Amino acid sequence: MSTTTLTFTLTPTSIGRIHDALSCLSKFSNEISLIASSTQLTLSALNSTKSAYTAAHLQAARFFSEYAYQGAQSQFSCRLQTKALLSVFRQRMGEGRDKGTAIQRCEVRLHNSGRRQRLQVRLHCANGVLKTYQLTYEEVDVVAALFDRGSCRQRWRIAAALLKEYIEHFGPRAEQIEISSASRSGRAAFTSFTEKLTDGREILRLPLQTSVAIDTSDFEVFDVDDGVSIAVSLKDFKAIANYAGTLDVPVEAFYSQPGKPMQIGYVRDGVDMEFTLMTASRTSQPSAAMGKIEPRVRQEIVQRLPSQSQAPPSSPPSSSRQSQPAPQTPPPPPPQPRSLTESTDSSLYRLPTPRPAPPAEPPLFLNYSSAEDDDEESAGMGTALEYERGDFQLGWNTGQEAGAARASNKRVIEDFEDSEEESEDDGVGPTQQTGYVPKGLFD
Amino acid sequence: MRFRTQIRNITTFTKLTQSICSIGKLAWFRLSEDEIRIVVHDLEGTQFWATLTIPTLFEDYSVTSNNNNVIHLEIPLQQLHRALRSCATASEAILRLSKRASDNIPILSLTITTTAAHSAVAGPSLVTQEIPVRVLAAPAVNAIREPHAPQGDVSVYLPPLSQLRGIVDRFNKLSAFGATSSEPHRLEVSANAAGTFRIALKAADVDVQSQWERLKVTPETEASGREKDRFAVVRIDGRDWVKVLRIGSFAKRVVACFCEGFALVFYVFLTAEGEGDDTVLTYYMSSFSD
Repeated sequence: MSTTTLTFTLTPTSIGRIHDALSCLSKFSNEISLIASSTQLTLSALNSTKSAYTAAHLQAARFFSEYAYQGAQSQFSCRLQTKALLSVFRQRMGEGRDKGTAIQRCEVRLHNSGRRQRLQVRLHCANGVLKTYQLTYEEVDVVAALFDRGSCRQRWRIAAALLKEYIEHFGPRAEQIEISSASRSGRAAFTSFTEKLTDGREILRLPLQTSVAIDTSDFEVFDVDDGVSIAVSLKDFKAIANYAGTLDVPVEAFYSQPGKPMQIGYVRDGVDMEFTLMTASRTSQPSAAMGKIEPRVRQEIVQRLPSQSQAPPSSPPSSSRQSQPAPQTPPPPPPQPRSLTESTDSSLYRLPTPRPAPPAEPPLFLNYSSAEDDDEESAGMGTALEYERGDFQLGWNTGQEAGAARASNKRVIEDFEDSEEESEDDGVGPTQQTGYVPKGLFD
Repeated sequence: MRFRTQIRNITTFTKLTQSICSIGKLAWFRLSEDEIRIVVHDLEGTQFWATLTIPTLFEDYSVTSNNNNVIHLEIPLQQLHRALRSCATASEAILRLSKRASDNIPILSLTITTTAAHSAVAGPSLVTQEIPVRVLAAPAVNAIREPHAPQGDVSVYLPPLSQLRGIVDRFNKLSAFGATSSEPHRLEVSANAAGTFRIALKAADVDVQSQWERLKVTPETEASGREKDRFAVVRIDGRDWVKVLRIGSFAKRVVACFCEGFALVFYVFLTAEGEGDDTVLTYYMSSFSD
């Protein structure tokens, strides 16, 4: 196992920036992936239905006061609990006012030698106070959405504050937001909607349906064909707009047509945010289609996996999974029911019951493209999905090309672990300082 | 059946919906040619009744129906309030009853012409908020009756509600002390014809009382000939009361009418004395038996 060392230093301002970015990512997933290379550090989150991927690229040269990455591979990736990361960087707010404990510097060090997997965060505060946090992480191959902005016919750019102001009109409960263009008449509209059938008294529980029609000259750039309209999750879009609104930047969006992904991005002070969202069209009912897709793919994988288990995992089991006995073989795929609902009765799960899935967004990552080594598994999956979803192309960037095939298998396994860990993982609290800090101070 | 109006007084309407949101989830609106009646009684123990003159909220108001030009609507308050919040910077806001084309459900459609604060170039933007509503038929409405309260024993003008609310909040904290959360936070509230107003908490571990003196009493109480120092007592849930007191954000005068052992009724006036418009909002809180 090769050794990887990542160290970087943050100023108080950039601590705040990281926290803001993390809290935005936390709206998408309760696990955050960290990908370190010599030029940038990427924090990313993929939501549970894989319909939204978000990444914050922190530029080594611009964002950090010091940054060093050393490793045998060109990049190192791991996964952390969002809550844990957030709580480490959170305290800044109150302490800024209290001069006595104001943070002066933050040092982060990750040393991965295979045995001990800890991310150490040291906060140097006023009056010589030093706070140390140790976070557990899980070394995994991380996937990233591939998105080609150049191929998008539709694009717009708008000031973040203005976008936030418009999006504030939307109540929290509607499911989706449609972005439509009537560029010929110089208008564009954001409209929320909820695809739900109701009757009688239930209608009073329906969320507000909001529409904001604006002049396209409110956009700095509005290059969208007349009549094009796409829908994305309102919750995601609100999270993006709200976070952007705290920065004074233009927000750019790129898309082509419903059913293909959309990317929204903004750049500020060495932080490059990108959000890749799956889009739908309002008239179609992708939720029905999706209910079929997901479980079917998953079942197929579960059935095949045992025969594939000779491939050794490229990472040892994380400390949070110590109960797993054999570290040299991948953990046996957990019985399907647990991955879906945490029920223990496996007989219930022969039926392709979807997870409590998001209403009308199809998953974002459908076509798993493995770079060189075309693996049967992922190819099969790709076909199955393409059959359902049409010709939409979106790739994974695993960053480890040689191990792509293995990586895609492993990824599947991890998917199953995801939901399991959420329930089991109480051991990894928001901070891991208990047991460490007292030793350092008093031993 | 037609209803269309321009909202004249957005701030009042927003504050009103905000303060009654806490009383219940749904409100019943009776829209007629000369007045608007609003009733909320979701929550046990508290009812809200208000009859507003049209100009209190609206202008360019028109309502037509086969039922003597009266329309009864059931409106979810959260959604209504959320929609009205979009009007904060509106130059014009129009409320209309219509049907949504996509699913045919009745809606109140609020059309707001507004200019975004951060918009440098363009003209106004148009925000539409569609609030789902239920149109009530006459038989359903007949079941809604204003509670009948006996002649009040003592009526006093309350001290400023914001101040009162802070104190009631503290009482609630004290009554939560040692009690299980499901128990009602029972406060003993009383007043006499001399204008003394008391809030008291008597529990196993605590015994607290706050008292105001020389509050103004209503002419009726003055004339009733009741002994000056005899208190009329009611027992109400402190947490429910705090919700009622939220109306303090825009109440000008509040009269509390004590019906001994039966109910506490609050009359909330939106205008100072002698300003003419006598729009009044009424809250009924029934008393616990001892």
